[in-house]
Amino acid sequence: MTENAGGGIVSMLTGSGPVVIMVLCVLIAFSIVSWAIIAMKFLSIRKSIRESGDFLDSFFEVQNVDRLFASSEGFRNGSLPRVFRAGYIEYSTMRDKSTVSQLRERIALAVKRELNAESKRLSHLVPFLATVGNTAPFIGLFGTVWGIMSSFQNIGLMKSASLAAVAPGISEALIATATGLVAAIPAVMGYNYLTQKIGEVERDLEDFTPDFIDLYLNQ
Amino acid sequence: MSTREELKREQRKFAAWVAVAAAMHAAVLLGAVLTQLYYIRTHPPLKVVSVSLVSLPGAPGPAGGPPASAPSPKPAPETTAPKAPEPQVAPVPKKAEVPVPKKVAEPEVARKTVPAENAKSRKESLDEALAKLRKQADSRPQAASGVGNAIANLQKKVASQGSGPAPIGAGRGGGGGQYGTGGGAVDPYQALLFEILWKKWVPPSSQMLRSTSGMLVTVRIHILSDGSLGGVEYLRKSSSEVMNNSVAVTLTKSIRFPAPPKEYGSRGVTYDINFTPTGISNK
Repeated sequence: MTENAGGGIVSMLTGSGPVVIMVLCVLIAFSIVSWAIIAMKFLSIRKSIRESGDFLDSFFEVQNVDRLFASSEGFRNGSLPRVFRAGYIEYSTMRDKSTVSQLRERIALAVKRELNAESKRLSHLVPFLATVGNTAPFIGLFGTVWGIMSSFQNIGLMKSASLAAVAPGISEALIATATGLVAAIPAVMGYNYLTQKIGEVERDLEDFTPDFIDLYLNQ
Repeated sequence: MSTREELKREQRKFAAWVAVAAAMHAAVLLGAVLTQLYYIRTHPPLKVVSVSLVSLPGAPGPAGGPPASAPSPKPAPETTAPKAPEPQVAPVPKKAEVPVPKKVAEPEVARKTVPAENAKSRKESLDEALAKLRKQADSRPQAASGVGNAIANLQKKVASQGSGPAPIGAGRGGGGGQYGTGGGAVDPYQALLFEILWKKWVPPSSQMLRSTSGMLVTVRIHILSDGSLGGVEYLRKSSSEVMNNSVAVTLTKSIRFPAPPKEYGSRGVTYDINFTPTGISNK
């Protein structure tokens, strides 16, 4: 029964050589990590966007820095509230010690620092998806080429070029390319989606940071 | 400090997601394997009985019913039975399993016609022969079984008995030869032809066939009086291209056969042949 079942996966795996098996293991590991990144980033970015939206609502409603800071406590995962909090902390420590222009400079610096940190946090691990998307098909292709080389060697040893002698080896070798594509396609799709969402968040941050600074200084 | 804590928290979260993704991959892989197993269960392989290799020319088998078996002078199982135990070990070749029950059943038919004493002694000798055969089969190593050895044994037998025309059994249709070739007199030339085709044929392996159902290719070949292949006609093709190709390759490799005996006349001879993954038989 197992042998028959193996018409497919099991016997293809058992019939493959060590290099093809190694390639398959690498590709499966790539696929697992890619899916983990996609799932984690998808959830965290979605949460960040939702909390940023909620924070912006209260930002337009309240227009009071202290109360806004208090309300931002509830949005710890949002990118905009985090940038706002960084600016507010700088503002509260420096407001009695420096002039307006100095204060503006210090707040702008703090906001910029937080903005970079936020951007880094959002895009953390995402480039791995691009790496998988670019390299997985080639790794799979390498496994296939290697498998076909060995199967041709076997054909030479068997002294037969019949379809029955050629086809199983090639079919076993092609599983590496198939696995490479299985790993690469979701990685590329996930990468495109996540970079687009991260870009949206970053644009929001850049749009609203001047408003934050003005709000601090107008208090 | 808070950034470091956040980083740690994110690492833990990432590790958890990796575990989830690994479990998901394992589940998908398991699901694929189970689906395949289910598919194989719901599409059981076609049971094919191929008997051409067993229908040896000159084998004095009792095919064709009582008239053929009764006059055989020596105990019939002695010559044919060595093949019988092999299929018990090898699962595939159903062709050789057929002779066993009939051989046991035959003496019962014969007993009706011969006197009771004769029948008794005959039964004893038959039992003895069977016991001997069982012993032989037990002493033989397991690895010696299989289709390959069955073929080798049969070929040895053919070689030792010569290729002269020796009909096995009689009657067509319902009577049926013992080896199930569709009954009737076994054509030695046909047996020779099948043997040649079998040697040249590389049947697709079970790994290549997703399912063995529908793996039947029926071909009508015409052999001219000089032994050359006069024409090939596919009466039935298999759903598997691998199977069709293997038959086509076999036939292209077999352009010339031994010339058929003169009894067939100057127009040559035509056969309908069934190719299945387990053997070749006539239609």
